[in-house]
Amino acid sequence: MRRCPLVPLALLLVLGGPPQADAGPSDARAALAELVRGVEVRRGIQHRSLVVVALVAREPCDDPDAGPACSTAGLAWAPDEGRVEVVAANAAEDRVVPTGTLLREGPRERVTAYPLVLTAGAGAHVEAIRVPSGLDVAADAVRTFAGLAGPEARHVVTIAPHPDALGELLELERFLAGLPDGDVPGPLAAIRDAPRVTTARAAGAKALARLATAYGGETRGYVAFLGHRPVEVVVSKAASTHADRWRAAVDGLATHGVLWEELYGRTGEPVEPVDWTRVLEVTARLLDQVGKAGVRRSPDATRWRLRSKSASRLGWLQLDEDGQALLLEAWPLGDTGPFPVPARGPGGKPVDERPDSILQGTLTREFLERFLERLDRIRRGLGLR
Amino acid sequence: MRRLVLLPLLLLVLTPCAEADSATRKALAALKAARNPAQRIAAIGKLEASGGDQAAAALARLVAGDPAIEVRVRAAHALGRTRAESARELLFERVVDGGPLAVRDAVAWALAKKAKGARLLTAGLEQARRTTLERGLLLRALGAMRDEGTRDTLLRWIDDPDPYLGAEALRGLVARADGDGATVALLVRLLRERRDASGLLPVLDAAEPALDPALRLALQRLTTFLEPAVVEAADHLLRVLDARVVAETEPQPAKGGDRYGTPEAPPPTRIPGDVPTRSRHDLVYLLDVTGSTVMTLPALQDRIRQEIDLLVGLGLNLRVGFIAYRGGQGMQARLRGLEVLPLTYDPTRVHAFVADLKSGGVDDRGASAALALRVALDRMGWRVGARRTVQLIADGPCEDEADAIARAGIHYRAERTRTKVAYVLRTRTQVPAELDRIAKAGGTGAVEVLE
Repeated sequence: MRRCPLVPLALLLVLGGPPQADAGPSDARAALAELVRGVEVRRGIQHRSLVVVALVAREPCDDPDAGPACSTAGLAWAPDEGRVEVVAANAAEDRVVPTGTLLREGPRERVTAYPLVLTAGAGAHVEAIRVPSGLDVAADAVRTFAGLAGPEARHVVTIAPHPDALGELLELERFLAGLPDGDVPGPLAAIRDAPRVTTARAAGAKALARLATAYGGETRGYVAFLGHRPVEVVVSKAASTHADRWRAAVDGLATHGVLWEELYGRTGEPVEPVDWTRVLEVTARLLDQVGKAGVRRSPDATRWRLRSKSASRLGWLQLDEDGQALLLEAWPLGDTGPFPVPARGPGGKPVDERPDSILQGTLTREFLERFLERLDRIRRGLGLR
Repeated sequence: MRRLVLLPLLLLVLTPCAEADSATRKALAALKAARNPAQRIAAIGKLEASGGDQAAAALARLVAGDPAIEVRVRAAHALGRTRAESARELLFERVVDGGPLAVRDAVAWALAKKAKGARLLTAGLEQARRTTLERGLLLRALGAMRDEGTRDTLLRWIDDPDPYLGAEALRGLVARADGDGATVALLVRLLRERRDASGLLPVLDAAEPALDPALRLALQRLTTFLEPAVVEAADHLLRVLDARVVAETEPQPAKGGDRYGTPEAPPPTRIPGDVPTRSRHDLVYLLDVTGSTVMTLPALQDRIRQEIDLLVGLGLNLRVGFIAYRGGQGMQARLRGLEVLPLTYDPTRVHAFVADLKSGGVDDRGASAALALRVALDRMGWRVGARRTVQLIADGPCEDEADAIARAGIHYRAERTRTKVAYVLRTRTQVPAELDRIAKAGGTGAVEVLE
């Protein structure tokens, strides 16, 4: 059996729970453990390379007063200059804002760099990255595109948070979507609505839609696997919140499924049915590890090592300043991942080759530049561009 | 003088016994002389009338081993009616040994006739030495008794941690309830409370005979699940429910016609055949795992896994069971050598069981293929109305050809439970001839050769 690559996995876990501005990491861990204990892993939906596992409430819970995760109100923020910025965000109601949420104000788009909990009226400062876009988006686009800055964007933002990373990623995504070159990249919506993406994305969104109210409306979250790695974990406190979030996120996930396949050259290829037993097993282990997260600080003060007897290098857990949310970078356990590993990674690098830096993963700035050049060369050679 | 008084009294007491002994002897002789099932059935009547323990033992032997199913059933009924003291215990043993489905029902009926028969079964369930398959047979017998006193026992076992026993108890309870309110309420509760496919599928399967409109909401909720097996089963029941409701409420075509005198077209009429059906399959693998299979076992494990995945992928209402057999000296050692997975709806349990199998054990007296066949055919909780198949995958000759052929034969002839045989052609150049005969008796023709 081939060993799985040590590709960092970016898992985003959004926490619900009462807003506590001074809550410490241990409180966050307790809230996290409670949240994970509250759900069980159930079979989800596969749509081509995108596999979504359902997280279903052990006990039905749909309390409208359950806390910030129940709120779906919009955000307002005050932009500052600079490419990585700290902006003041305000919300009409308490809510959790996931990493990668698209913030919109005037003609600019921004994406949150870290998850945060917002208390109604109090506001918070959130690190956001400006999306290189000169165009406005519709007022109701916040929810629609909230998930569009999806797994890859979140990955780049958190693993390689240099100022240009997101811009380069968007350039790559524009390329994959078949959009023309431009000095100023267009809005995220342009990628979503590109002809190469539209049909496949719509099919994906349709196939995945059932997860909103699956299991008798008791679904409270999901773990999304893209290709051979888990990319996102989201748990909501109430099923109704999950349903709302899922409807907003499904479009973005489906779009990223399309782009991922394009990235690996798998568009249109038949996809093997996933081994659900294995996927559910891996998901349960990941959640189990998340539930036990953090007993001692690593040298980096913001990182917490996951407690694991068998896999000391399972990954890293990162809490935000309030200790209310976390980001997890993890590696698959054991010799085999839940999915067949592509023979070649993006850019032609063997996927089982160890990344130059574990913490930076494969999507470094240099990598993206190399990859774009390589893809461009190939396409020009084929007369596609 | 006193002796002269006692003698007539003694004669008075002993005369019926002597007559009974004589009647038993005659009945046994008639049974021995019987050349066909009709003659054996005639002898059964005489054995029943004689009422002695010797006659009861003879009847029990017929229940266990007669080649004709009708003889076995008649013998079981006779055991239920006979006055013999030992009949109750003999029937209990027959319950635990199992047999074709008709025989199991007949034995349960007979035991219900006996005072404290149900109590004997309930006590048997609590005995620590009982295997899962034996407990399953006891639960099935309790269900078939249709005795109100057994309801509480079955209700207790429905939530047993072993899903096989829970399913057997539920099937027994639902099958005899004829859709009464309490049973429907129980089904609704189980459909709401049970969360995973392995817990829900037995309920959905058992619910079909007791299908009631009160189940509709619970079934509709299950169609939102993402486990295809659950969705298919719930969807099927909803369609059955719809078809039944339409059949019950459909208006008759009006007489006459419209104002132009055109005869009205009759509305679509649903006939019983319109009620959707979903085929059920029970499949039990018997696999030789003696030491000699060490080289071939991994490939066979792969093959079995693929087969099961394929069947599951077809969306069948499928249960799979497994018996891995070895050798051993003496019946107890051979029985201990069996690794048994009772029929389950959960393919992941089968996969885990198959993955854990290891080659080992001697087979100098022949691997226990016949014993495995006996346990599978006689004791597994087969479903009535399912397509029932035993797949024997042998790696050597059969240790008891006569028993295997007789058992495969009666299950096929009486109830169409098939025995398929595959042979792993490893060191021998020819398939053992007796395997061909077992396959023929089991209704599946030639042995499949695996190379």
